[in-house]
Amino acid sequence: MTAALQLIGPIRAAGDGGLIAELAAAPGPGAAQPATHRDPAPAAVRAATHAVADALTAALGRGLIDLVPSSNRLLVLFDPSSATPSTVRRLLRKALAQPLASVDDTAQTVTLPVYYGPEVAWDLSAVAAAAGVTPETVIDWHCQAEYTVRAIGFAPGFAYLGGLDSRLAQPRRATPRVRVPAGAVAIAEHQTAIYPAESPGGWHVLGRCPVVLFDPERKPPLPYAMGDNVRFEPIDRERFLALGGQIDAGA
Amino acid sequence: MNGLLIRAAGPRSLIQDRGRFGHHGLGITTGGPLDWIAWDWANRLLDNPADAAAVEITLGPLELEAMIPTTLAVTGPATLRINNRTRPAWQCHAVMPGDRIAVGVKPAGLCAYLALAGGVQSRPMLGSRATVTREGLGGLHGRDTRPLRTGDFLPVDPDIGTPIRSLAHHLRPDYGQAATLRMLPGFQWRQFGRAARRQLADARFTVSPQSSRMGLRLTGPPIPSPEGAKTSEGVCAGAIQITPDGQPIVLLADRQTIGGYPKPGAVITADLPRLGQLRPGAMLQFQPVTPATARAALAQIFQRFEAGERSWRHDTPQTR
Repeated sequence: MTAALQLIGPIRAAGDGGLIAELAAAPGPGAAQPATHRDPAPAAVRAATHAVADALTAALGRGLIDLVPSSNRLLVLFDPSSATPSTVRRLLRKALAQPLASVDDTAQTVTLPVYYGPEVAWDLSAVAAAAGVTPETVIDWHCQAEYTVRAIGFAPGFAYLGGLDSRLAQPRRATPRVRVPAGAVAIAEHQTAIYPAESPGGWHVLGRCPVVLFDPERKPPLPYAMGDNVRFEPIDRERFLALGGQIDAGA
Repeated sequence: MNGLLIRAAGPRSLIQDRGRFGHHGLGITTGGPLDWIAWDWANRLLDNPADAAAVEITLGPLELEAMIPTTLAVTGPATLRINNRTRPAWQCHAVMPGDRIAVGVKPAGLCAYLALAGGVQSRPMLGSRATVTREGLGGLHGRDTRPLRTGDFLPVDPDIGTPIRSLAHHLRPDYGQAATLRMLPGFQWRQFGRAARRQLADARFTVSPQSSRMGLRLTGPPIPSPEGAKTSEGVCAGAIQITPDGQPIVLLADRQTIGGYPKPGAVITADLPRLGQLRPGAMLQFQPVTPATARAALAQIFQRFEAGERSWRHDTPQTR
């Protein structure tokens, strides 16, 4: 795994209290700068986010408000009444130039149980029809892949998991659902995700995970972090209910 | 139990401290007051800790009955009645058990703030008392998915002796002003064509009723979006997103942490309160400014905070 990442282009303003850095995978030792940049490994973005958080907290204290990593960007939010953009920009550039410590050691693999039964797999047959395969094949493809948490956002604990079998890739639903239940396991484009809480959603629902993903009173509140790997383990209805899964009225 | 009983909660009354910081990496937004200046003044009037929680009252009225002696301050475009008598906002008031308090919002704005001496002692969650109902964080119990309700009990410690201060008129925000919101162009500004940029600076937009604490949806002449600027990335409060149909959404306190719409820029921190005070149907315009203007506007607000604090230097504790 290429652990390192690099800052590309200038660090730019996002409002008067934000700076955004564009990140790319660093070329290997001795390699030339590529013509087009590849996204950095999510684990490297996570390590860089921690390094920047440490450096900015040391220098700014409460002047650092928050950091928002995404697949190839890092947004730094600071208190513009206590820190100037030029100071934060300099600190950020310096922190991103440091070599990252032990990126590979921090990524873990999390296995989550999923029930793919017809009561909860609202879009399984439609996805199977679109892919020209049986629902069982869709389930196999969905649980054989190992996914990587590429970003966390949209809602607390909502992880964008990259690595979906490309034969399952489909655009989002034309009309988003008003209500997708907590635990819904869904796919869209080249990603899959589990809805940590009930919310509106436009992804294709394939099953349901009985595990409470986001719990603000648990440490840590989420079972995964950016850069971690996620696998899905198919379970039957009985096991789903035993693990606390809920089956409600359909879509 | 110490505190105040909510006799009528109003349409959206929320416990808000400065915001929930440091958890964006988990997808958790900040929350916090829509009008941070009015919120901050309410706490400053009472000499509260800088992270004390107050109540944000949208539209109102919020009616409470005190069960303890306490001292309160109301700020924003607010009206205040204590035991059915009109009392001035932007000033501390001592109340006794049994006193009835009613806070309303004038048509010039959307939110009023009620701070109580020592702050609202609701259950903190992830280091903050900010309420974000969509996330089920904050509120009285730390995990509330709803605003305050009639019959709820607002926990507050008793207070006797907080000095009775008022804020000089010339230091108060002016809520009557036309809404021209200063914005700092972002790195995608140049990717919007010349016509789109001119339109954003010249057009008048109307606040849509679909707005929420997540964002202010605007309607106006459609702004053509640039092609290929749809990378998902962290977004700041005040960020102006242009949706595919050319309409802006200006992100507020409860925004999603990550967004993919192109953004010509962001409303400056000093003008976020004006944004938060706009009611559906209100008109607004954007004015691109430089970073120096954004800094000066913020410095002016902090100069007012300091001037207010200076004017209270010699105040004495209340006696009863």
